[in-house]
Amino acid sequence: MKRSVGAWAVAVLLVFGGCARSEAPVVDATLAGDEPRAGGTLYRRLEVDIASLNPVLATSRYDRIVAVYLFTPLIQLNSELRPAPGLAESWQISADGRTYTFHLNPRATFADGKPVRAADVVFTLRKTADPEVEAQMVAAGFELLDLSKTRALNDHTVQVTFREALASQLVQFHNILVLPEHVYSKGDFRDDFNEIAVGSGPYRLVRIDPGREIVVQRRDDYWGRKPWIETVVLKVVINNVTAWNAAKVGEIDETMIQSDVWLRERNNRDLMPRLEFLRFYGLAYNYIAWNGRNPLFRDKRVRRALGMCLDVRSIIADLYGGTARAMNGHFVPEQWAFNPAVDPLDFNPAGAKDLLATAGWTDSDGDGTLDREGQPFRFVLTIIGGSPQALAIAQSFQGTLKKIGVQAELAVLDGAAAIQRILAGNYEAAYLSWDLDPDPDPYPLFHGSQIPPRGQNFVFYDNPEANRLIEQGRRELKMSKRAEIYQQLHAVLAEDQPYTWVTQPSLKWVINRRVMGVREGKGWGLFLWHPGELDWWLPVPTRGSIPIAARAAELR
Amino acid sequence: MRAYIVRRLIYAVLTFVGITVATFALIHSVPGDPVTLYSGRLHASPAVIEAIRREHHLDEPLPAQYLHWLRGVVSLDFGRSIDNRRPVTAEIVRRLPNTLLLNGLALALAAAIGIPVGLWSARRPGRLLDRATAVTFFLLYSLPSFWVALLLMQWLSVRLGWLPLFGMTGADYELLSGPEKLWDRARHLALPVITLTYGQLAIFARFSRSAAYEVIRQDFITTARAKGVGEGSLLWHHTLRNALLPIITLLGLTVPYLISGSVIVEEIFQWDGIGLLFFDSIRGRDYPVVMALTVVTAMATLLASLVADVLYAVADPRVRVEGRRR
Amino acid sequence: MKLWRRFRRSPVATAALALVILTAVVALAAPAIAPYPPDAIDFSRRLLPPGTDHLLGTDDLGRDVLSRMIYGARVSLAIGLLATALSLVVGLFLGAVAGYYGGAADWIVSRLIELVLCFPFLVLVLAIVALFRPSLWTILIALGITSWTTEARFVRAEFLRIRELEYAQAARASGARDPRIIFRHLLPNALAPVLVSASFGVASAILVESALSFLGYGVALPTASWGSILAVAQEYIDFAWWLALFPGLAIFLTVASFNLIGDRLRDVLDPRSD
Repeated sequence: MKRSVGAWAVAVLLVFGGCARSEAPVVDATLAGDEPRAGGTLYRRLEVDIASLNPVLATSRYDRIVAVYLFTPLIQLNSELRPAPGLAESWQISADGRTYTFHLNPRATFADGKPVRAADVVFTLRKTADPEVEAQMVAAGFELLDLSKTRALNDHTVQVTFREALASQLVQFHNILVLPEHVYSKGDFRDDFNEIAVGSGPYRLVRIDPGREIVVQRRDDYWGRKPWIETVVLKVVINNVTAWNAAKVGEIDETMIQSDVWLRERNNRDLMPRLEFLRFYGLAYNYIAWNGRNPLFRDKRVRRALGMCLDVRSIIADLYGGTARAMNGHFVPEQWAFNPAVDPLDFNPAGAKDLLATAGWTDSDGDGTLDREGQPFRFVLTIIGGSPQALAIAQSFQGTLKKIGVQAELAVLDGAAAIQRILAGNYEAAYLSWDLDPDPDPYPLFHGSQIPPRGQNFVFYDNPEANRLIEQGRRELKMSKRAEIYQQLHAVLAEDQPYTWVTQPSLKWVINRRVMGVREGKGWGLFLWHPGELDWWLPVPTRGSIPIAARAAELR
Repeated sequence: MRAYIVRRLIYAVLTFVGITVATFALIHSVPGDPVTLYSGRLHASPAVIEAIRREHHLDEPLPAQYLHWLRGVVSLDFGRSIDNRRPVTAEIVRRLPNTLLLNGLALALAAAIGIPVGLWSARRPGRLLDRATAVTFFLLYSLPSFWVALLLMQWLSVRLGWLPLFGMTGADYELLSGPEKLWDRARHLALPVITLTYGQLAIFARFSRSAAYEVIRQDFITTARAKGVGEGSLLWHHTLRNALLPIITLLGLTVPYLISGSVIVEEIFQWDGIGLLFFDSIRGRDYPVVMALTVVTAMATLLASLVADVLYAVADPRVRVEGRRR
Repeated sequence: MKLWRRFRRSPVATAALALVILTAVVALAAPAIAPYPPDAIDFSRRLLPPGTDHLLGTDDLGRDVLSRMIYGARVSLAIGLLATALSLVVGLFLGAVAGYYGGAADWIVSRLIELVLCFPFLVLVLAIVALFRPSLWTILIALGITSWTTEARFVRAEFLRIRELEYAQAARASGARDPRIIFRHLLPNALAPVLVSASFGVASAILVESALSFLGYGVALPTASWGSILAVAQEYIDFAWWLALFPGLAIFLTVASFNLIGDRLRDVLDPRSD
């Protein structure tokens, strides 16, 4: 039941740009000359307890960290986040884009030795698409699935048809972690498979101790290329400070770390021989959402002016020590949808004041607070508690706004209260963050039809031009054209400022130097892409049996 | 006597129902919805959200929801967590031993130190030793546990590396032999137990001191002393025996605390217990879990005070008279 | 005066009282004493260790820790005193009603006390604060409505005892009205144990406020409180010891002072002691 913290933490991370495993190859930890070897035990951190080992019931991306070892997706995403063979060796897409034909790897077997059949894929798809199964993470991508035309053509060929063709659909098959029908059809699908796992992945489940750890062991009979590491222990460590300390003393081999830890400890000579500090940009950003239904924020000049009061340069230089990027618009440079021609807003409180004056906001009664038609400019900025960075940025923003006569009150809420209010559109402004999917389609966030309670367009953004671009973008199957459309959209969003985009912070990781073969993929960082963590190896079978200092000397 | 117990039982049941209604109304009336909270559900399709609501009866009016819940409780079924669908009863049963172990040890340690010190200082009230221990224990009692936990972790675990930082067992626990396992558990228990213990010393010392003090002032002790009974024998045989009832009562009244766990200590040390579950379920608006924990702790409290009262009534007939007068 | 003379006989308690008064003076004179405004953010001066510019260092936003602690004293004392006052009012009222009228009133109050006591205290406070929006007022109210039971029980027991005594009977016989009897005759007599429990109550309220802030459910930002500085310290404990040490010390000293004062008051007011 640590899950609720977990979920809460995920929400926080989501909102604070914690968490997309990101990328931007900064260092390549693979050491030339070292021969990978099999064996050893890797200790990884889980920031959140896993609610269920049943991958259809996944509730957060953390579930995937475990699932990678136990299951194989229909298609993998490679280090560029492009589709690559998974359980399906190859596939074809029909001319109208609605039908996919997957050819399964005939050698693939489940951990119980039974072969993977096309019927298993169909079974998994049916479970995913059934609302009663409550597949909260993965079902949304298969809402348009046409089950009557989804079937096994033979033992190793599956045909999947959608009612409508969308450009993002192929990537969704990355979320189909195929389950053996002969196991998962016996018993209650939602309740009986939360602490067991039978998949076609390279590892099998040894033990799950809810709230504490999950242990997996390499399958000797694995049908694909076997990974190196013999045993992986995934330990639940929720608290970030605790995790950092655990990594320092070697209790865990890798963890995400906070910016300040990264800035302070990266050059610590005592730690350098043992720990490697990595940093990369992920598919995530922080922003301030303005409720477009609120009369205060209906005028885009006002939103722009408020954005000009955010001292992004100081935030990046002093708060992040230069490890974040300013941004303006929904896409990040790691995505092909990104438009490099759009410039970030300048920090300019005086200009903001002038801009607010043209929008009718002046201090006519001389009380130090701007007003219009007798209404003072004051609003509540909602923040989800838990991230010191978010609190710092919000408080600095509040300070600048006060100087130009705008009164912002900060409301620090817990995840439950904040997310409910925001998703219902019942808020004024909120400091949040997004964790973006590999496919850039922003339909649920910015299309005019997706306002609460339907989608997550809780800023009530509805611009006909943006709507048109979003619709075009999700239906255009040709990537170069799609990129063009999204780059236009990027510019439109930057012009309209439905959000004030704050930063794209880089993600910081620390990883024990005994872990070899660590490489970084674009947008997701160290793992979850393929082969990612399945390529890691350990130079000695048990940790601590080689003097660390000696190894460090070797490394220099 | 039977009438008294029956009446107390009826009160307990009434209080119990009142608690569940109050808690139910409170958690459902405040902002925050467990179904939209979880990040996974940000991606969820409306049909899935609908299914989750239906499953937990969240689409029904509040009184109906309460009745659903009550019906479950009567058959000892607390339902499933909205967050992770684990059966709530199993989750509580799984965590209860962890909390009992931690709090039980802390309580036992505090009693084992606090009670003798309290009895000892009752012997010579007002003397330097009495005052010094009182002040020391009071200072300990005033130390914020989260501050102490932070400093201890920093000092003993990070700087010196003597004790593990967090958790209940080490990384390689499963591979250890029997005695090694015990040692591993002991090392993990050390910091949380210390953090929980020092604050309770004052309570036990204070209480046993005044209980003993009451007894010492009574005539028979004076008589015994006059008869030349030695001070040590006086303290242990005469005083302790007579001061025992209030002390046992105090211990009895701490039973509910044993079960409910300490939110702060469990949160800091990532102790997989009831306190952490309580905190998490409140943050997550996990209604079935909050309700189940409320029931369990309330039952424990009510039972403990019921037993204490009944014991008192048995021991002291005057209580019965007072009870009747109410 | 006699009380004070007896109180003064304990040097520890006297020192504690002096410390409380000092804290109160600091809190009242905060704008005059604090070297910096408590919410002057400067990211370029983040996490500076104690030095000549910043005697107790700076926090993660570059704000002066000393200044924030000086202002934080206001929050701690205000919450400690106001929450206790609130619980006193509630506790005295309910306890008096229960003890004086007995019968149904007593029954209801007794059940109410039982109801509140059935929850683990911190969990109950946390629930109220977390469920509603955390702020000075939510914390005050949460503390007020959860910690009145001790006072209520004291007052009830005391009333049960003294209402049968002669002077209360006499007052009733002379036709005095109930509120008058309660406030003029009974309440002053029940005040001694209440005063003691109030002193402990302040200590406990300060402790609970800092615990709430520590768990992230404290007063609204950017208002400084000792607990909220500590909460940040948790994140930076590896390299910013000053964030953990000083506010923790402040909480400890203040809480200890109120506890020691309460303890002394109990001795002084208890006719059987000394």
